Amino acid sequence: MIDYDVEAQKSIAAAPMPTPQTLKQRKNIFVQFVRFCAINIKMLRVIAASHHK
Amino acid sequence: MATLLILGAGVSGHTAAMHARRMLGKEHEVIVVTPNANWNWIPSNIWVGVGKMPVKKVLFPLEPLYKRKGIKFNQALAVAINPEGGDGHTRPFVTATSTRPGSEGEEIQIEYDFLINCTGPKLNFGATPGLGPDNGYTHSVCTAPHAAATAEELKAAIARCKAGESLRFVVGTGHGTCTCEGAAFEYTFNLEYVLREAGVRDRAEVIYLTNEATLGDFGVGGLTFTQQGFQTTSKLWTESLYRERGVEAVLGAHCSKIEPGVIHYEQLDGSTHEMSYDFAMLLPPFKGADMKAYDAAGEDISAQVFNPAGFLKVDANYAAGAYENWRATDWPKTYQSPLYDNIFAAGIAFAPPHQISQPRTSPNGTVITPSPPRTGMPSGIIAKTVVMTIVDRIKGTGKPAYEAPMTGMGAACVASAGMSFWNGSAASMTMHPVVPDWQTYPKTGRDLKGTSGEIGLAGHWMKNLLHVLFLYKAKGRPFWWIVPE
Ligand SMILES: Cc1cc2nc3c(=O)[nH]c(=O)nc-3n(C[C@H](O)[C@H](O)[C@H](O)COP(=O)(O)OP(=O)(O)OC[C@H]3O[C@@H](n4cnc5c(N)ncnc54)[C@H](O)[C@@H]3O)c2cc1C
Repeated sequence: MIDYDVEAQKSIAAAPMPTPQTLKQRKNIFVQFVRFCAINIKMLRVIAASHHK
Repeated sequence: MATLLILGAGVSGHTAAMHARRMLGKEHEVIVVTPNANWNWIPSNIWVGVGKMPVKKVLFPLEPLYKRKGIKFNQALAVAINPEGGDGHTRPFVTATSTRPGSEGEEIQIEYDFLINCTGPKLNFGATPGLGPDNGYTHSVCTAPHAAATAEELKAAIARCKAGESLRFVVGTGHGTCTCEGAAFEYTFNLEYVLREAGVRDRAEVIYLTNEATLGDFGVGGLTFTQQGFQTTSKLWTESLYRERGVEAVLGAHCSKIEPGVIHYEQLDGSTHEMSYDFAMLLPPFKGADMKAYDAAGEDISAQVFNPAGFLKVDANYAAGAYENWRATDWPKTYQSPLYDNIFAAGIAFAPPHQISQPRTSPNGTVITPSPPRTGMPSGIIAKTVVMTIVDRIKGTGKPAYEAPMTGMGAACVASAGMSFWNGSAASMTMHPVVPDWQTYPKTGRDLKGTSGEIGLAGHWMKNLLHVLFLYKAKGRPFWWIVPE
């Protein structure tokens, strides 16, 4: 660990560490295909709400 | 016949030009003044900067496209606006200096009826001595040539690691008032990915050095969103990624000076430090384009038209004062100049009323606060909105100006964290609104339904899709206008 900004390193060290299962899911093609669709829908919703008149 | 003059052909200027040309009859002129021959999809400069994408994939020449569409193209740098005409002109005009090879330095004057300033940021490397690739010792990915040069330097650094050296890589913001922390975040994790891929991660220390007071601030004061049944913050979520990828961080930092191999910085608690480095990619702070404004008598009215940083003043409340007094209503809606109703600004060129993140100053009086980001989506939406207003005015519909306040507008951001179709990842974030509205959403400042964050391979696919779609749109391919800003 670097000795610069010790508080920041402590805070990072205390953050939740993704489990191997979570990391696998983040790369799983089927799970990620579903997430890809979900992200698209979320983004389209934000876009639709943002084009003001 | 009316003339619409657009200064700058980046995300907002090009969006404005293309929509204006589509919405206005051929009897009206659309003119673009911009210094570069090429359009650059800046978000993908990150991939160019780690050597994962050739520079030609983020650029295309504007002139042939504009010729085809009937947009007049002037390769020049605007230097002055005369909103009241004068100097022999009956109409307002802009003075520009040609940057076209063969006629560099020639002065041109272009009259207009409506003007949109889309000149984006001037990369202010000079704010920190030693910052930047041209007169300093750090790298940048802010322009395509910068990113290409950075990729070469990175290649050389990786070769050193492969030869057995242990190196320190520092990525972040090169001044206390920088913005675009999202881009620095992306470069950090793409760099980390490339180092791992090259098999040298164990010989590389990766440090994120930022002006943000907390990780996950991103210049928008951080986000709160729902994940797996809990409300979480972008701070915790981002810290988790730093922990997973072994990236360390220095927060609330203002770089005061860069020397070869040494970064001098001050932190929010007033302490000063020196950090050695072997490779550094540090973003510059932004200022407005170096433009002046003159009235009919030739008097310099720049201070009325622009704010001190050179951004064009619009219909914002610039007298909000202290953080406690900030309101959603401070933010501009129509982006029209309060002095001249035929002048507008879009994208980074408009003067924001204040930061979005809470302002912070060190005990030594150094401002260490991210400036408000105006990312691609808001820049494009604002540009299109302003064009709609101008088109109405030209057609004489008498309708009020269209509005697109950043307090009512969302943004979708995909921050790449590694480029590979099967193994890559990215943080996909949505926020609505961009600027928190604590009066409407007293608990978190934003609508929890429109605010989200997740990390995974899907984000990388999304980022790729955006690259393809936005270049398709920018190139004016069939039905380009269906692709939203
Ligand atoms: C490395 C990096 C990565 C980024 N990644 C993302 C991302 O993933 N998603 C996202 O939403 N946003 C991202 N952004 C931010 C995004 O690039 C900006 O929000 C966007 O480019 C702003 O658009 P703009 O039109 O205001 O400015 P720009 O796109 O910078 O365009 C300004 C234009 O004005 C021209 N110009 C400058 N001075 C003059 C003058 N005097 N006269 C005439 N023309 C002039 C410039 O040459 C340029 O063509 C990133 C930014 C950077 C630096």
